[in-house]
Amino acid sequence: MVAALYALILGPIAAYLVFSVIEIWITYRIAIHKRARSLLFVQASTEVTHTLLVFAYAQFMVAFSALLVDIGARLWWPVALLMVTLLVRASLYLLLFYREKTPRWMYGTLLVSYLLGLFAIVWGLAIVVPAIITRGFTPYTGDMGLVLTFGVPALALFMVPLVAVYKNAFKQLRK
Amino acid sequence: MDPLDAGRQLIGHSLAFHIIIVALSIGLPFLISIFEWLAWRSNSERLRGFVRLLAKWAAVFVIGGVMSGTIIALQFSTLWAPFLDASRPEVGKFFQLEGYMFLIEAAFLSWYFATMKQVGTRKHFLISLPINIGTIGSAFFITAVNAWMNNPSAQFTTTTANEISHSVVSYLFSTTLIVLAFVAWRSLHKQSKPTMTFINKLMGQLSIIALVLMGTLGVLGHQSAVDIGNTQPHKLAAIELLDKTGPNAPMRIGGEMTDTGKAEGGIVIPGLLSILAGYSPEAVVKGLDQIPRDKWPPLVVHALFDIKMALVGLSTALIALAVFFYWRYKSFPRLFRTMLIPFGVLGLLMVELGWYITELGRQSWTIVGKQLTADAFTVGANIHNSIIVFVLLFGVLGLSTLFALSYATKHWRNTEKQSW
Repeated sequence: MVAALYALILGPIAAYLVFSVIEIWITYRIAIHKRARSLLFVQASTEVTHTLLVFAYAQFMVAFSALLVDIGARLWWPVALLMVTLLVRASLYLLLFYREKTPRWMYGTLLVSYLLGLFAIVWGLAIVVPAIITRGFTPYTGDMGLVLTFGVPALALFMVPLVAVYKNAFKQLRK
Repeated sequence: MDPLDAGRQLIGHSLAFHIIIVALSIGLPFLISIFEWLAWRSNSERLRGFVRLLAKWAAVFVIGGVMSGTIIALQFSTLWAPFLDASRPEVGKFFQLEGYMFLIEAAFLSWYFATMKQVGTRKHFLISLPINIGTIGSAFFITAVNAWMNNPSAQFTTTTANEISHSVVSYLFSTTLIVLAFVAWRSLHKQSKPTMTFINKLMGQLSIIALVLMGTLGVLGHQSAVDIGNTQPHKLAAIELLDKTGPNAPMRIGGEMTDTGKAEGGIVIPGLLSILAGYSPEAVVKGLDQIPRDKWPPLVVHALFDIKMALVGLSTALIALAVFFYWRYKSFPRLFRTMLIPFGVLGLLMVELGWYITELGRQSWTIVGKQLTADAFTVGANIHNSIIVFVLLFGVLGLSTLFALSYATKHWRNTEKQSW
């Protein structure tokens, strides 16, 4: 059960990191190509990518709540940085959503927020992982029945729009 | 600033922002489904166009909602870790189920957008329904956590049922009011006669939906008050500024508490609180005299409750008048339509006030009788002055949301054949 729990936390985080790299690449391409910026390029990809992080974090915060009591204070700063990048990214996406012409600086800032967000996640993992290892912490797995019954099918269902959104993003980028 | 106060302010600002987005994220899919159904039944292309506008708005709110929701989860797990750990055995699974419901919402919302002009209205209506399962399901589980904080005697209690139903219906009501205000605003612009006929009908339909929701809220609000009296008497006593326990408890509008613990001033209606809370003037209602003074909630909740009730009265009168105009004349006077615009925010104001009353009224507890707010805060956590940064960024996100709504509406007007 512990292995399944780790798979359901680390799997979506790994997928989030991979999709974030793709997102960074797409954003970079838009930032350097003027024509791409006039194609109403912004997709729902950031939202679907972000949902993977939400899923992983929901498992993590419940299963590791006892550990968080000890390391929560130290974890605050990477989390604060992540929160700043999320707020900046959400604001920029909203400003870009239906605009026909978008300035390059917005995509540049988006790119920076992505990179800082990834840095914050790695910083957070650098606090959490050693704490788990040094304390030999065993996460709470009492809710795994629920996770496997509802969480996994919900995640599987969610893969359909995720793939569709990215396919559409690549299609538009090729144009 | 004291670290605990700073942490409380940060989570307070974050939730105050998030709850508005949540209300609209739940209310818009509800209205989308209703108007998809009406468009299917009446085969109205104009109504389909209106649904497309609501869908564009819903997409805007999803972005702000996802981000602000994540930010709250991040704060809970770092700044409020002892609360998370204390609640985990009882309601930890609700946090997870809320996340799964969000996945369902996101999946079907994506499907709904992808099939916007590709399937018939009936199919599109059916696709819209599971979005509501996701949005209302999310609200169900996260409100169940809050209800448990208010009444931790079991995972599901009467408080759970009352709080969830009251919250969800108030989100639907506040969204309906906002949409009604928007339609009223568009009606003031120069429109053709067929368009005005359509707008009047739309306003009539929205007014009827709002009236039904308002009536439901009246019943649910009363049930909630009775439940609060039974399960959280300290909160009811603070909300009603009731100083003494006993039968024939008065309802007090306005007034203040003196230093000696005696309620004075305001309009006092003898026995009304006993009748409302216990269905008899003889019903005993617990007052603040039964609660140690250091455990009193902040008494500002009484003023907030009075303001909320005034807004309830005002919005009920307004909606009843709207339904009357539609029933009697099938149209609305221009002055009345102008009045509806500023009143569009009344619903959201009531949601905010209701949330403040619930949260402040529970103090000094985070989990009533089990965990004080001071004990729910992570030892050693200190956010220093970063609160300023977050308040500013929430302000930017709020403005960006308004800009995006404006772009979305403009985009809709430019791309729809029968826009108005």
